[in-house]
Amino acid sequence: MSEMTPEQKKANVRLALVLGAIALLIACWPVYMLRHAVTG
Amino acid sequence: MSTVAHEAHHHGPPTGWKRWVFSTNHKDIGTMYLIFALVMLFLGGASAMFLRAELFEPGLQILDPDLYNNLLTNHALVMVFGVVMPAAAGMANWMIPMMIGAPDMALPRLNNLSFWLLPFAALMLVLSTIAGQLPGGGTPVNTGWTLYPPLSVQTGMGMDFAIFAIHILGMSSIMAAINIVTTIVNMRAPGMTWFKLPLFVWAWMLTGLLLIMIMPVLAGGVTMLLFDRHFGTAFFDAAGGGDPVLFQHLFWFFGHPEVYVLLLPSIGVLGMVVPTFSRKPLFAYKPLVYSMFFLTALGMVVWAHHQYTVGMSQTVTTYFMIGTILISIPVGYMLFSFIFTMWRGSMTFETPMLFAVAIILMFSFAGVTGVMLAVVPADLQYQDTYFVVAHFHYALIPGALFGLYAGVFYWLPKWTGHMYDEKLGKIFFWWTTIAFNVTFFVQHFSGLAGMPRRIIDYSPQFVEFNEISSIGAFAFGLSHLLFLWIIIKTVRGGEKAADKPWDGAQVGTAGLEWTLPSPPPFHSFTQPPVIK
Repeated sequence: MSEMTPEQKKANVRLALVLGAIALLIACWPVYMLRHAVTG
Repeated sequence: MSTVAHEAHHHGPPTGWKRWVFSTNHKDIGTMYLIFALVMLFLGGASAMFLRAELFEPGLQILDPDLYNNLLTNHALVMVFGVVMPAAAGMANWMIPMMIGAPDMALPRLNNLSFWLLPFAALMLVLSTIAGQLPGGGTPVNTGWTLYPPLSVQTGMGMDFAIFAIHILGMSSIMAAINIVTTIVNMRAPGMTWFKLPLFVWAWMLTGLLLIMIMPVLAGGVTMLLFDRHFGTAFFDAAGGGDPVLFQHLFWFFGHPEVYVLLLPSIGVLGMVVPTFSRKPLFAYKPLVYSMFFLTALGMVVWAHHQYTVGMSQTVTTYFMIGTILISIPVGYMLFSFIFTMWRGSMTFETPMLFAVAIILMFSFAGVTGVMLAVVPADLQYQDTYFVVAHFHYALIPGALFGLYAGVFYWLPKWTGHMYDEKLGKIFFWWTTIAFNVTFFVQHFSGLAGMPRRIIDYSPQFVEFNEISSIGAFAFGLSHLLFLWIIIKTVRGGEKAADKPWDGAQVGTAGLEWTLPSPPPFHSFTQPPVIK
């Protein structure tokens, strides 16, 4: 287990969430198309 | 920090299965990634042996056409997602925290999850092959790793397992990439500035960013495929107003940058190995990092060179052709950087360096055939022939796999605390390199003579090419038993490795991995080191 400070842990989680959000946003592109396919 | 918590941080590794199942230690997780990749290497290799045994003679010998194509799909998916990516992630786990002076990865629990998703994905991949052989399983997954519709919409339930496997693999890769990027951005020791980072760390930084950008697109694409298969949509069905070429764009938007995901970590390994055994700092480090940026950016915008024959407009194909040819600039720059690092260096040729030199030679060869394939009118002739098979095996076996072998031999003394058997290492190098060339060099000729890929049978005029290729493949496969033996032998014992087993290591790099004992303690850099 690492010796990270609470601030460092927070910074890590924050950056990971931003990167995860970018990945999710990119994955939403086909989902957006899916919505159009369903609603016509 | 409380005393209890402080003591908990300094106990030794947990014992038994819990050490591995619940591990949050970057070294243990790195080891698990590497073992997983090694197991999958034999699985993917076994598929290839069946394919080459079948192709030894024309006609049908041991496989039927659907099973042949299923094993071919399995071989590619296993080698890409099960071998090269996990092995590179294993090396990243082991080396990046030690190189940058971090106590561990930024998100250790996420690291555990990223790894433990992999065995389930591997199980799904195996099931995708088995499902096609069961009664009621439908047609086996016979599409190749590109999973193009409409064939992929028509195949049996094995395809659902394959899609699910890709989803899990994608999640694992994205989480690993997020963890690695976060570690590099946030966990560098004081003084470890961006342009002091070892090249391997830079290579993984860009690989991680690429993965975050491309894996969701593949996940989205195969989800749409799943909807077409089971939920009545028609994204890729022309009869319902869809377009099968859309899938090709989605797949290759992922698939071409994926090539750089496979290559970049090995380029990073070269950036460590070549200076060490040339005993000279890396030539033009900063421009080399910039060229890796250039490669990453260009790699994202040239995907449709895999689709020249689908009927895109001349303007579009011309754009993709020019973009693709431009890639030879950063790649050429990298190779020259390594060659100039060697120039007038005090070179020695231990096994990692032998692999490095072979990579530069053979990957350049793949670069030349790559430029040939990038040219639209030429590609229209080469498309779907063995010339393409030869090209990408010359790119990926030296460019990715041999880079990882160089890394294994380079870092094995650090990981295990023992020197590997240099004589056996060199035998493995020559055996595997010669066998690789015997296997794939002739495929350029069978391809130029018109032999189509992904087909179980072939015309009698290709017999000699295929016999040579199969003999080479069997020798190539067999050489990996020696590789396995070298690793087992090194893990079990051998000459004690010094903390810095290579006298040229750390020449011109601030990397901290060699300042630790061999093997490193379970917890390293609990107090951040300061780099001057």
